[in-house]
Amino acid sequence: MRLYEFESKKIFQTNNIPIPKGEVVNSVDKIQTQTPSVVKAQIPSGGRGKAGGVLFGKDLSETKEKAKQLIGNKIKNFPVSKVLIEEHVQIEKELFMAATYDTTRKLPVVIFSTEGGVDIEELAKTHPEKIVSRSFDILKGFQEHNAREIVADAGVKGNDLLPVSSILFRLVQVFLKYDATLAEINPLGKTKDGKFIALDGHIEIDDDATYRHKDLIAELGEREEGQVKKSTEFEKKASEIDKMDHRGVAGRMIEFDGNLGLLIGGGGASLTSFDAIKKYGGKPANYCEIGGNPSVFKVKELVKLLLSKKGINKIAVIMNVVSNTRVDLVARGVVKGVIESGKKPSETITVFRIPGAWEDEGFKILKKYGVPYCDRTVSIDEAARMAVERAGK
Amino acid sequence: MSILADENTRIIIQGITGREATTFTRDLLDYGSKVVAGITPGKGGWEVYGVPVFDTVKQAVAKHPAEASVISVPPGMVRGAAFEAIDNEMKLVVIVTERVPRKDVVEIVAFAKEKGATVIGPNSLGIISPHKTKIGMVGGRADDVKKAYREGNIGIISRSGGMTTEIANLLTLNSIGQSTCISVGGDAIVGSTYLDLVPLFAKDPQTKAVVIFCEPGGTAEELLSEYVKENKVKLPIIAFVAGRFADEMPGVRFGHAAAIVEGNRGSTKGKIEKFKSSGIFVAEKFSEIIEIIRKNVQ
Amino acid sequence: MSIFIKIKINEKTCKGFSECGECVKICPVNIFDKKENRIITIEVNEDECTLCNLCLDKCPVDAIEIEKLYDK
Repeated sequence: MRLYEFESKKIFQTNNIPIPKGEVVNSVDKIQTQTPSVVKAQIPSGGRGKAGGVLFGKDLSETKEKAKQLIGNKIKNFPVSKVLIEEHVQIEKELFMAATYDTTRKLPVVIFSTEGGVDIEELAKTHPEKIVSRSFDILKGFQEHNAREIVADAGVKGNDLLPVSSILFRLVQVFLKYDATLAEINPLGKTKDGKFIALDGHIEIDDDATYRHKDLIAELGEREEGQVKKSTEFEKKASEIDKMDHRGVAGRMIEFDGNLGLLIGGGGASLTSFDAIKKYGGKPANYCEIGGNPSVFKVKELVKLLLSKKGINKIAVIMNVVSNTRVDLVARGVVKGVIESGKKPSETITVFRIPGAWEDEGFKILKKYGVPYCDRTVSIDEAARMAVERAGK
Repeated sequence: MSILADENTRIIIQGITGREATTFTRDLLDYGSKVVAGITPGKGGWEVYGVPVFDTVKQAVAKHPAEASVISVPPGMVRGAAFEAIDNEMKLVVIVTERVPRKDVVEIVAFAKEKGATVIGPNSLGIISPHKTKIGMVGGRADDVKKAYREGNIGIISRSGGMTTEIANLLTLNSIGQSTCISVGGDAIVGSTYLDLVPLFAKDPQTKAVVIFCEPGGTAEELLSEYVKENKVKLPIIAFVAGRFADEMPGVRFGHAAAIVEGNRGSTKGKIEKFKSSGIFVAEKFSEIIEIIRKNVQ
Repeated sequence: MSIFIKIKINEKTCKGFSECGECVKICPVNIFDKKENRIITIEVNEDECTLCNLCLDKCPVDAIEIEKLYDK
C-alpha cells in the first residue's frame, strides 16, 4: 500500500523527522497560508514534478490559483483530489535516503546519497559511486552507529554528520516499525541555516502486514490498491463475485477487447494459457486466475459475467493439472453458467482442459452436455490452439 | 539420491489440526511420507489420522525425532512457528501459508541462515521426491500424485505450485521421471530461489537436468543466469518463461506477488535474453521442454 | 434449479429434525434444512454437493438418496 506524500510526512513527524509546515486540502477555499508556498498534487506515483504536479505560489491568491489548476484534474493519469500546501523552504543542498528489502539477497538495505532530488535509479546507472547501499542484520536491528557509518562513508562531515545520521536512523526505525517495504526521503533538504528537513518522501506498507497496523490503516481510509490502471466496471463485477462467496478464488480479472472469454487458473497456468492463446492468434477478452477449489456458484457467476460482455460468444476453460480444485465442480459451474446465459454449452465452450482431482466425474458431465474436453495428455498449449481455432481469430 | 528430502525424512506438521493441514496430512500418509508428529498449541494429546499432536515442537521431537517441518498456520503466527522449528534443529522448513508479512520472512531467513536450515516458501505447495516422500500439499491426493509424478532424473523448480505438477505431468507422460520437484513459492521474498537450489541439484548424482518455471517480476532468473555463467554450471537447465504478454503492461500485477514488471526490471524479455546468453535452454512452447531434454540430456 | 444433483429424502423413514437432524449438521454445503420438524433440501445448494457422502454415512435409517442427474 503506497501512502500519499502527506500521509508519509505525518508518520515522519510522529517519529521526529522534521518536515516543512503545511496543510492538506481538498478545496481551494480552505487555503489560508499567506507565505510563498509549494502546491503539490497528492497522487500515488513518483515523477510528479516533471508531470506538472508541483507548482509554486508567492502569495495567497497565487497559491489558490495554482491549487485550482490541480484539484479535480489529472496528473500522470491519476485524478487529484487533494493538494499539499507547504511553506516554500529555501534549500542549499539535497540528499537521498531510503530503506527497503533486497528481494534476491533477502536482506534489508539502507541506501544513501549526498545527491538527492534526482531519480535514484538514474543516478545508480550514471554515478554508482555516489550511492552508498548497505544491508544490515535484521535480527540485531539497525543501530545508531550503523547510520553514522553509512552517512560518514558517503562523505558527510563536520556539523552535518550527526543530524543527518540521526534522521537516517529514525527513517530505518519507521521502515521496521510500520512493516514498510519502502521508506524514502527524497530529497532531504539542507536549509540556509544548516537544518535538515524531509521535503518529499514516501512510504509503502506491506499489504500482508496491514493487520498489525489497524489504527493507522483506519486513519488512512480506503484506497484503490497498487494498480496503475483503474478497474473497469467488468473488473469490479468480477471482484464482487469473488467476494460474494469465500469458497475458492476468482482473482485478478483484467479486461481486454477480444472475443474469447477466458476462465483460466491458477497463477502460473493463467500466464501460460494467456501467452499460448495470443501466440496462436487468439483475441482474449479477459485475463483471470481461478483456483483454491471455487464453488459451483462462483464459477457459474463468472461464466455468466463473461458471456454478458459485449463481443464474447465463446469461452475457453484451461487450468493446470489440479490437485485441490475439483474438475467436476468447475465443470458443473461452467455448464450451468452457459445454460443460465441462454446458450448451449456444446457451442459456447471451445475447450475445457482441466485434468486432475475428480476428473472422471467432471468428464461425465462435459460428455453429457457435448462440451469438447481434454485430459492430461493434451498440453495447455494444444488446448489453447484448439480454443483459438474454434473461436475464430 | 534426491535433494532436500527422501524416504528417510521424518516430518512434523505445525498447525496439524487446521482445515488444510488435516487434508494434506492424510495425503502425506497415503503417499508414504514419514509424518511422525503434529503440533498445535493447546491441542496436545489429540491425534490426526493416528499422528500424535503436541503443544510444542520441543515436546514433539523429544519423543519423535524429525528433520523437517511443514508450517500451515495463520500468517501472523508463521514467524513464531518457523523460529520454533529452526530453534529445535529442523533442517528443512516448508512454509505453505500465504500472505506472510515480508519482514517476518526476512527474519525467518536470517535465523535459518544462522542455524544452517533450509526454508522453502512461504506460499509454497511443498516438495516431492517421487516414490520417496512428499512434504506439503503439492500434487494433492496420493493417487493423483502417482498419476502425475514418477521417479527419475529431472529436477523441477517452480514459482507456481500448480505448474510444478503440470511440468511433472508432461515429463511423466513422456516417460521421463523426476528426482525432486520443488514449489518455491510465489512471493517476492522466499526462503529458497533457483540460486539456492540449482547448486544442490548440480551436486545430486540422480539429477541430470533441471526444469524451471519462471514468471515476470523480480530478478531471481537474471541472477541464476549470472551464477551459471560465472560458475560454468554443467547441469543442463531448461527454462519455461510464462507471462510474456505482461511485458506490455507495466505496473499491472499478474500471477504471484512477484509477477510485476517495473520499468525494464523483471521483464520476461530480459530474463529470456539473459538465459540464452548463459547457456540456459528456453522452451518456446511448453511441449518443447521434452524435445530439449531428449536432445541435450543423457 | 439443480441440474446435476438431486437429493431425495424418504419421508416415511426419516426421523425428522428433533429426533435426528444429523444431515443438517454434517453437510459442508448446507443442502439440508428443517421445515417445522421435517427435513427438506435447499434446492439452490444441491449442485454444490461434493459427493462426500457424509450424510449417507450419518443417516441412521438410510433415508437419503443422492442422484447424479448427469449419470443418466
